[in-house]
Amino acid sequence: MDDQLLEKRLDSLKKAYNDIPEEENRSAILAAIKKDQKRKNHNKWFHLPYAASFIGVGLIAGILMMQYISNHSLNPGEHRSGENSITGEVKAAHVEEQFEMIEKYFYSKQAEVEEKLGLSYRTVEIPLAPQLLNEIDDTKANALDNLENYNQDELMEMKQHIKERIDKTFTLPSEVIEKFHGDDRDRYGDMELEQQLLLQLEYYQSVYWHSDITSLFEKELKEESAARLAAKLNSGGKGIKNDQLRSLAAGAKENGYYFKGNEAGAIHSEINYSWVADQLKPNVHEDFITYLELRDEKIHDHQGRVLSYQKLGELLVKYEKVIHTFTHEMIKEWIIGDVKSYYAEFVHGPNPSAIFDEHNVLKDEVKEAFKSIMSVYPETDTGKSIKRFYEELERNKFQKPTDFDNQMVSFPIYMVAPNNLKNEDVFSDILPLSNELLASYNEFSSQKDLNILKQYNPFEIMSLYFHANEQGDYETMYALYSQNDAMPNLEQFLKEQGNGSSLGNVLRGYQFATLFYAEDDLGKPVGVQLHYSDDADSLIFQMTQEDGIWKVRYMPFQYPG
Amino acid sequence: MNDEELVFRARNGNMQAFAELIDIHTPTVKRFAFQLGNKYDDIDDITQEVFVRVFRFLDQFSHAKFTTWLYKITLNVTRDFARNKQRQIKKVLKFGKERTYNGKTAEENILRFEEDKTLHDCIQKLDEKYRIPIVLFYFHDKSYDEIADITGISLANVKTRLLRGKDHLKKLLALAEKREGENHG
Repeated sequence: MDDQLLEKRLDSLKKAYNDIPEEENRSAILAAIKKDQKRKNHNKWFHLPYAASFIGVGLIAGILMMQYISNHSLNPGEHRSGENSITGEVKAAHVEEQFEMIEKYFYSKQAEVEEKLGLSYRTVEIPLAPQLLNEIDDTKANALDNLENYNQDELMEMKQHIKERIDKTFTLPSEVIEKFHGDDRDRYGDMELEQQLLLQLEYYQSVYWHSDITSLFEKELKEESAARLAAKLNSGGKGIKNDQLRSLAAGAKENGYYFKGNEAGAIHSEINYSWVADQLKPNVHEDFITYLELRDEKIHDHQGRVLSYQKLGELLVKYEKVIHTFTHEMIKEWIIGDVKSYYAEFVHGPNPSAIFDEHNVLKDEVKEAFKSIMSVYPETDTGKSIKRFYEELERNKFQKPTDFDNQMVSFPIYMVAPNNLKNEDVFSDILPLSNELLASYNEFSSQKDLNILKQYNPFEIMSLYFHANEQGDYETMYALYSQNDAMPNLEQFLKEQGNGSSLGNVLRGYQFATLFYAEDDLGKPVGVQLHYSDDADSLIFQMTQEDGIWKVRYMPFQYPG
Repeated sequence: MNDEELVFRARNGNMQAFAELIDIHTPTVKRFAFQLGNKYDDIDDITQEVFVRVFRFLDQFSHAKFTTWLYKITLNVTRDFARNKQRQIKKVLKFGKERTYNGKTAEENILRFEEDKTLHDCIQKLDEKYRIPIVLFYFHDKSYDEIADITGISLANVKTRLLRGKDHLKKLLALAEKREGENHG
């Protein structure tokens, strides 16, 4: 066997591997992670019994501990002075000693943050950053298991790295906001502080959630509703006698949070993005201000459920209109990331069955929202994409399609195509066909009259070709070919398709298409270029125009040369 | 959003970002695990374990490319899984393979052509030190440098192992096809 033949066989096997079905695994994986984390958190309290008592000591102990740590060994340079050799052998006792200091440092920083947020008296005894604590544990175990692989320098370097992670984790949003106005603002890279602020805001919101803040108000909630109490907290704690709750209110406000109370008597925190935006002015790009203000549009309840699909649809249109005014590329990328997840939620729900009822029929509320968006905003990319999606569901009598859970979301064109392309040169959805195109397809399929195709552009003819393939309608596929290419006759062609030849793979990861022009004549399109989400090589779908009608070249797919 | 940004967000507790990483990379992990010789029925368990470990050690991931790290973890999980599996096999006697709706095993549904199946089996017979570079080079389009990173061997070794692996593979394939020819008369 020669190399060429082996490579050919390997290539064929690669194609078979690439056809491995893509099933939904996300929920099972996330559940396994949750279980794993829970197990680890549970175990944590068996071997860290001193943690709770340490928290109770509070700020003074924290400060003393920090002094102790900084005087002793968190600075690698100072630590080395006591060593016989900088790169000397590492002993288990030494690792234990260093990690004990790290853990103490962690708890001192935690106590500091709890004090600032008014969470010192929270009743839930889990660390504010359990994941980080787990990792410190894992790193320690790893170091103890592999002592021979470490020298003193590396151990100190590892400790320094962990310390920086602790510092970063325990940086409050208010501290990041201060940095925007500091004299050394210039030393941060473009969007570095903005990104840090977003992360810390989200992170500490989850801290409030994990801390079960409702349990702090047990006594007060017996006397008044959660909504009223939340209003008092948001006004800075006016009318609240309890000092601890007043410090909670102050800590939240200073860091960009407010509270909401629901009918079930629970209180939760929300990020006050508009307030944060106000704090940053004027030392921040105006796109970032708009970005934050958009984030203030609340479309989920505190359990992550969509409050109103109509409102969500309106928000999508608002995003589309605003995005076109953005000038900062990175913020634009962030906002596209946000709106893509909202769009996916609008058409697929937060989980695959959320937009369908128990009989797998599209919920009325969702259907009405789709109809409203596509009729009120038909000129927007969002409206056009929703229309196409709606029509496909309509053809299926609004029943959930069997492969719905595995379907890729087809995003409006502005979310996926680079913004320097002209609208008429870009194309988004190949399948499903719109109602109009489907009607023409059916007509062409039965009559094979080329005049029916006259009104369509290359993108649309390509869509017909993919649809014919999907339907196994190989005669229509054949009729779409240019007869000027050397090709088999119809009978041979049909025989070749006998085992089924799916183009499904070609569409995997597909995002948008552009016209592809002849190298020697940039005004003459010679096909359509398919672009993919993973930056994989784009494919050319070769076409030719004959008597004003776009035809498909035989064996149309080719990589650009 | 690219991998690095998603990792950055996930590391700071954003589960939506981590879910996106799962969606993007699950197909690669599944394919790689299958190509390394795992039974298709075990692939979901392996994939799950890979992402549990990714999440657990997210903070230790620093400068390396995320996918390189993911391949390394998949290799480790596969090795651990094989060790556990051997212990299980000693305890439990399995009767036949699980079949899918069309009466074929999952493997048979993926490797529909006899030639593909034979080559897949031959690759599994290769020593791991040849199998992994071949899988990464031919099925994941990895460069020599990337293979060296993932496997932890030198660049020169990657080249040697690919060459030798190919030679072994050709011999195994010729032998398998000779046997097949004899069986079919």
